Amino acid sequence: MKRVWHRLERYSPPGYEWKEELNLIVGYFVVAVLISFWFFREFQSAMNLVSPSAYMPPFEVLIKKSFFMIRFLPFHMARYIWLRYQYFNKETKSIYLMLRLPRRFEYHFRCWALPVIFILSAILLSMVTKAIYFLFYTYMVPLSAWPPGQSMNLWSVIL
Amino acid sequence: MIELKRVKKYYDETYALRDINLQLPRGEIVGLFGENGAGKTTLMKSILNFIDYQGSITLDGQPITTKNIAQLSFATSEHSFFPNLSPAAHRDFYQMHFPKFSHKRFQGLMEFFELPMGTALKKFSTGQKNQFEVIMALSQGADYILMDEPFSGNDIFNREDFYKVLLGILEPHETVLFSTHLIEEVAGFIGRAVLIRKGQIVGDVSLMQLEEEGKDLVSYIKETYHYKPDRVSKALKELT
Repeated sequence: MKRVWHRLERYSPPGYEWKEELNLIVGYFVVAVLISFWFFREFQSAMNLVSPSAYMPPFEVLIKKSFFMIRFLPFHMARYIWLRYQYFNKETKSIYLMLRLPRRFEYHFRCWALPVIFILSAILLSMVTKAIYFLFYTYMVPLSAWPPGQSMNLWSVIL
Repeated sequence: MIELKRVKKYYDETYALRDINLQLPRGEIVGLFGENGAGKTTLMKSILNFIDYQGSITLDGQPITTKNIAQLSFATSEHSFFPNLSPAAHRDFYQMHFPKFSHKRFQGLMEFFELPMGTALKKFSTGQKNQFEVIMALSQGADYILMDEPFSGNDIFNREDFYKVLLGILEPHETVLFSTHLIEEVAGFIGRAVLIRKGQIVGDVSLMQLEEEGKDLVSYIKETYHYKPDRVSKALKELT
């Protein structure tokens, strides 16, 4: 674990308080997953309404409200990136050191790396959650109530 | 050698640098003098590629890029370290990025200035911060060390210690370009003086040449700047 922390430090500006951000992001992910449980409520309501001759609403309709939080993440990350660039001009002009580094992209890398990792993690998390919900949907919805046009291909649903 | 040819820089419509031609060979200690706003900092920032400029600046005939930038180090009164990191963490960072980083020099200077190795730099006094800034510039392993008012805020004893240490540790291939207002203090330690005024180089002389002419640095600077010694008495007469 210590090695992971040490490695992550290389993905942020030196001395930057990224651990606090990491805690916030983990909290954000937890809340996002909890909100996604809304899917089960929507699913339950739809199941109750389905008559023997009716179809279930498509999977995409049921999850529509459950994954809205991920849409806000790029805005948060844009702010994090901006804060990182600001950091190099805060208190001292460490920007002068960053601009003198022989590694050409080090300065920008340290501003972008973790926010991009956070976004990719969020996308991965939402894909995994969607996949689990879709498997649940396919298992629970009887074939007779399967909505016309609803894909059964997992990848086409989660991507 | 660092060579500047017809370097110009202007902000809006004001010239910060006008047609600067300057050569900085290896092994020199050069003092860069000028009033506030004369263009000293702009000149250094242009050499370091921090700002855009017109003209050409080369290092051993090559433009200054990431390929050769490690040959230049920079100490500034604005400080370029990370305030949350300790000197030890800075040492590790420099070692990671600058292959010629001199651990021996770093350690020696840290001990000489009695700076704590494990304390975050934001807890240092201004004088200690200046010392650390200079230590990093000297330890990076650069051939050209640029210092912009590195000791504003340090006491005289501190500064004198530094001059002596610098003279003692510099290798023959190392060049120092040093901007300061403390002309009398550095006169005994620089080998060449470059005078800049309103973005133009108005004087460039070796201290040896001055010595041969029987002049001292302060009078040379006053002469070049057309300093009027009776300026103060005239002003006082008018005011009283």
